[in-house]
Amino acid sequence: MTKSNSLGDFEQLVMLALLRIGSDAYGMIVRREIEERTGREVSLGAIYATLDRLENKSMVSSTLGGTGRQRRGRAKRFFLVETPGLEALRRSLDALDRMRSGIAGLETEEGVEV
Amino acid sequence: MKPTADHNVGFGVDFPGPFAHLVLVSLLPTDRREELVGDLIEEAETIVVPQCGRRAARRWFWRQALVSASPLYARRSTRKVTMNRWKWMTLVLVLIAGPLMALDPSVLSASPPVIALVSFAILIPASAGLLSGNLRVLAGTAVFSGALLLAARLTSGIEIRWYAMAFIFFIVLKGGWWLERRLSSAKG
Repeated sequence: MTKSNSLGDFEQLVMLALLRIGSDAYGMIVRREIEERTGREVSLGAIYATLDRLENKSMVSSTLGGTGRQRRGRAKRFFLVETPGLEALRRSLDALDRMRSGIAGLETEEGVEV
Repeated sequence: MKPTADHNVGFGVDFPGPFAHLVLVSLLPTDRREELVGDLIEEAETIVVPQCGRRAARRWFWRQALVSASPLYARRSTRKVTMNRWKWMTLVLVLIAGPLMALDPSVLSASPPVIALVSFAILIPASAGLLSGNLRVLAGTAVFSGALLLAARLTSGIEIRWYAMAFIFFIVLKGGWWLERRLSSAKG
């Protein structure tokens, strides 16, 4: 695997959040999804910087969406995982699974979260 | 957090206000700024205000804006510069006009501080021209470096004709790029 298509820890979290949210994924929702599921406090700037990096690697795509009074007229940018991103995520998670398999206390049963 | 009287009231329509807008524009890089500020306002108003009240939401908003700046700047510093024909032309212009300006006899015979000032004044618009697509940044840097060269001209008598010519070409190039981007975004 080359460096350009491997995913870092935070990139994996962002990609997984995008997949969980689906077509309504934009910065604020992604940030909240990660915070609620991992308990890890993340800044919106870190989310956008990561999404920008992933978009540069063609792993995600983005489109500008609706504004609204609650955003004082500022547009939302919706993000979607693209096929190369999905493949890279699968490879990263597979590698992680292979690395931890056989290590006592780190293995998970099928469908059971750690 | 204990509920307060301002719960569920939300911010006014002018939030975060013109001064705060100016601070945000200065604080955050242009990339994704509008989306980021929109997200922060939306989250502050729809989630933080109902839970914690307006005062806490304002604090939350500014803390988030502050901590968001560094990852965006870090990202910008590691991003590859995407070249286009306008940037290539600017680069060629700088490579021609810079040495012409720096090697002008009046500059070469000037004192070291003046030579340093001239080099600095040439490098500012050169880097802005290559790295920034923002017309305000361009105008600001061009005016600043123009003022530096004018000061050098008045105090030490150096010639700035090459700079003046380059400046005009520079504005034409950058204006062309900006106009092209505007037209393509209007079509898209």
